[in-house]
Amino acid sequence: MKYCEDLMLYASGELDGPRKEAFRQHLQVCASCRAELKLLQRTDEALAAAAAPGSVVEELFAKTTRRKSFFAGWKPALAGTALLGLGLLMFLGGLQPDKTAFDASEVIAYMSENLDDEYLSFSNDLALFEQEF
Amino acid sequence: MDSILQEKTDDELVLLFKSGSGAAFEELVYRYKNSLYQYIMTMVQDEGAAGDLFQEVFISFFKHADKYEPRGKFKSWLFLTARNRVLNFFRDRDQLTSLDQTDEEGNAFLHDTLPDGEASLLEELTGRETEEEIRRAALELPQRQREMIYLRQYLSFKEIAELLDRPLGTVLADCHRAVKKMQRILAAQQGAAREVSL
Repeated sequence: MKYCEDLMLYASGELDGPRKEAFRQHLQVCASCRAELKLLQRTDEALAAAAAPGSVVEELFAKTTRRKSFFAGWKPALAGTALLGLGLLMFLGGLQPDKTAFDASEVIAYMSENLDDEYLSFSNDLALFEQEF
Repeated sequence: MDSILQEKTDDELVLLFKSGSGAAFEELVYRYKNSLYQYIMTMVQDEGAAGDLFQEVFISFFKHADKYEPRGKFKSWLFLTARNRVLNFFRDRDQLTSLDQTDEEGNAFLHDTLPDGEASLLEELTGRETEEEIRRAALELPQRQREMIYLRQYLSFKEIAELLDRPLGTVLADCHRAVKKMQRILAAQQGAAREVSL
């Protein structure tokens, strides 16, 4: 049985040292072991792994790393809706009077009215001043 | 494929995948897809089932990688998981017994039964078979021996012993029986071919 075990280990490259050398010498005199070794080597060649079908691998990736989330398919639609909403808001905003401009005109009108009053008041005061002195 | 990932060890890829790299997962798949698929296909002999089981093994890892601790044995883990899936497949089909059956017939070694001097005849015989004949002979083996012949393509005997939870000596003896059985199958095939040609 020892040679049977050594034959298997030798064929798979797992036999080392003096045991490997002893088995090599045994091989020279044992036709049976040579026949088995030859068959094992030819079996390795014949059974070399055939490629796994590409469709099976692609399907696996589709179920794992390349899986699309529920929202992934809706992303373009959501983005479109968001853009449309933004556009609508801007459009409606454009119909409103410009609050900033409106406020400024009010301030200017208020200031000009009040300035006029103040200016008149100031002129009256000046006239009185000139009359007295 | 990413050449940097190709240089990584299995454990490094597992860690990268656990930290969120899908590319690391795909590299692991590319690394073992052929050997794992062939092993499963050899066992179940059904393309549809082999494809499903192959995917199940990797999907199981994909989902539960956080529980997997890398200890330099990813390949063994992969084949062990595949073997368990295959066992479940047979259990579902009531074929469990076929996998762990002992082939009594295979215990009779061919060279033990040959008269002196005929071993060299056998040596001459071995070498004339085509690869197709060898593949057919391997598929004719009892399932337990067939598994052994295929597993030794991808795993060391030590790894096979761990995977099957059997002593190394038992595994080596089983594999030896498988080789002897293949010799007998091939000899029978060639004998039949010779009769046809006569």
